[in-house]
Amino acid sequence: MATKILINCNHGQDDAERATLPFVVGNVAATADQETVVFLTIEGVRLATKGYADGIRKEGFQPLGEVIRAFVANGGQVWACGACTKPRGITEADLIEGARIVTAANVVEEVANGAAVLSV
Amino acid sequence: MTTPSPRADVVLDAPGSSCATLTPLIRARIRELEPGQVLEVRSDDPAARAGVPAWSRLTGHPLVAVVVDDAERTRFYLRRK
Repeated sequence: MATKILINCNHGQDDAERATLPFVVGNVAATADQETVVFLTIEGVRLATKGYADGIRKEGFQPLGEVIRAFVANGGQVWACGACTKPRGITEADLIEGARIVTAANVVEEVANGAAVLSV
Repeated sequence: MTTPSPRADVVLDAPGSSCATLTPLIRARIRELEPGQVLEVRSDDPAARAGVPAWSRLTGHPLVAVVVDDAERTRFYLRRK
């Protein structure tokens, strides 16, 4: 299975369900042996910072912090858009394990190389 | 699909698990088995009848049998690759 799966998430505490579902689906993909990235943009980049997701829970879902930790433990990657982290004052030092700041060029490169982009 | 059930080495009883949580549970449990051993997964989510075969195809752990017990409950038998 060579195709990387990119799942976009652009919400944080402003919308618990939209913040959670990309990681739920990402965890399913990661545990099905798929190379999976949750790509965070806009308010979603805050999910890559330590402690932020622990206060987010949508009824019917696991707490988001738990979902993200499971996703990373299962090999999932968290990419945070650099154009969105910078104006929010987020740096590499703020990030959770498994997360990194990337540029738009990194994402475009993956898509150009055949990555599948999933919107949930 | 309903086929005769093989002998299971380990049982994963997963009532209440949905599509979002069942296959991660299966993955965690099947990793504990030796190659060739069979995991029996008991689910009460009818959607698992589509999801578990898809997970099997993606991961390569063969789904060797499926037993439909009633409208909701299903037993899946997965062999560790």
